[in-house]
Parts: sequence; structure tokens; C-alpha cells
Amino acid sequence: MMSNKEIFPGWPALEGMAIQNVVFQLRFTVSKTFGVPGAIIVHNGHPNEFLLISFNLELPDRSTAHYVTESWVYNTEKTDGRIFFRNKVCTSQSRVDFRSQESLDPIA
Amino acid sequence: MLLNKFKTPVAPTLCSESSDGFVVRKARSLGRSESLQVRASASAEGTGWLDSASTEGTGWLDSASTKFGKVASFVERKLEEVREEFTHEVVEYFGTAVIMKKLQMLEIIDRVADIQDDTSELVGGKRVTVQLISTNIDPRMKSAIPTGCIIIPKLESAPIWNCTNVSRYTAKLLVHGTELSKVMNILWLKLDLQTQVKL
Repeated sequence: MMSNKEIFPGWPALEGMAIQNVVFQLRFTVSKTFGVPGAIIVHNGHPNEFLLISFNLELPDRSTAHYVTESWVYNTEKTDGRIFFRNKVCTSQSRVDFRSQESLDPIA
Repeated sequence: MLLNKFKTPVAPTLCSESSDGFVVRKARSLGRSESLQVRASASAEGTGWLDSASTEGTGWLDSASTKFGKVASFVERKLEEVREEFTHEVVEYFGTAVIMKKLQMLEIIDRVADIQDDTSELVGGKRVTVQLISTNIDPRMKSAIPTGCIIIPKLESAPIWNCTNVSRYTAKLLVHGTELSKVMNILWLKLDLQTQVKL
């Protein structure tokens, strides 16, 4: 499932001279069954690249989901965009479950 | 979803009904029964899973096989109701993105880097240092332009080259413009690219 697209507000006005970090607040509306997003997709329609320093998502339980970014996002008109995954720790029990699932469904 | 009761090769043999849903029990072999997970609750408290143990002896149907279709359709109808209910419930996530846009200063840096490369070739491949100097920082530069300066009258225009009198291996880039001067007060951008180009 994918959420709606949110556009960085006020992007054209960011023509200052100095190098600085710019903070954007984005709001995504998804179905309740959507769950915590596991990744984000970033599109850049501008000819110049920008550095996505960080991206965090505030969850309904007041916790925060962090996504691994710190990467330059170049123009994505000819691609499907950059994808950044959530930095979520995979517990040992989860790994056991995954391995069990793999053993049940071996790759032919 | 409504469990996996339609996918199991063994037909369910028993069903139980509760106020919140149903419990289906199947028999894998003689003398052994196994409960299936059952999608049960569609109440206001939310959805949940019940197992047969928790509803043991509470209204098992005598012949589940004959009523299974009715049970299934009823549960599916309840599932559809729940699904419609959920589609109308939305949740909002608030994201915070921190970016660094490639601002004009970075573009200037790129331009200076290009100038440095070209200058290095002009001075015979010697080591060249390109330095940005603001007129606000060094007022003397307003009137006295030392030999070897590269002048950019306006940021928007192409650089005007004056490298014929370069006697030192330091090319200074004089940039006019108040906005850039303010930035220079902060950054005092100095590029020491140290390119070595042999003749």
C-alpha cells in the first residue's frame, strides 16, 4: 500500500545564499489499516540534487519512526524515486520466524 | 481475514457460536481435533481472535457441516462491515524531513572549482589556490585589485577572466554583491584545492 504524495511546501522560495538545513513538516493521511510505513519514496523533480539529511515520522503512540537517509537525492524524473527504509531493529525472535518461514517455503 | 478454513483440505467438523463470532474446529485425524484460528469479534471493542478452548462448551453446533455455509456467509458479512468501517477510519502521520538544498553557494563553489581547474591550466599546471574574497570583509579590495585576481562583476554573469598577469600561484576571486558578502562574513569561504597539473 502506498500513501498519498506530499509535496515539500515552499520549495521554490528556498533560494537563499547560505548552506543551511531546511526543516519540512509533512502530513500523511492513510487508512487505519495501513500500519507503520516501512519505507518512504522520495521524488525530486528539480534539476539540482538535494541532501536528505533525516526523516522521522511521529506515530500515533507518540513514538518516532526513523528512516535511514543521509543521502543525496538527484533528479528522479527518469526513475521511480529514491526509497529509504525504516531503521527498525529486527529482533532475534523475528529472525527465527523468518527463518522458519524460509524453511517451510524453500526457494525452488 | 477469515482464517484459513477454506484452504484446509480437511473439512471443519465443529463450529461454535458466540456473541462475538464463531469458532471452527476441524479434525485432522481420528481422535484428534485441532482448533483453527477464528476471526471473532466485530464488537465496539475492536477485533480479536478466539480459540476453541476459550469457548469450549458454549453452544457447539450439532452439525457444523450443514450450517457451515451460513456461518461462513455471516462471518464474511461481518467482515465486510468491519472492512468498510476501517476504510473510513484514517490516521495521520506527521513527518519531519530535514534537507540541505543545493543552494546558490554550492553552485558558486562548483563554479569556483571549475575556475580553479582552468586557472591551473593557464598558469602552467602549477599549484593554484582559489580564494573567495568579499569586498565587505576586505575593503581594500574595492579599490585595489591585485594582480592575478579573477573578477566576477555579477553573480549571474559569466566570469570575466584576467589571468594574463598571474604572477603568483594564488588566484583570488573577487565577488561583488551584498548578499554574498553577508554570507562571506559567516563562512569566509576559502578553497584550497591544491590541484597539481603537470605541463
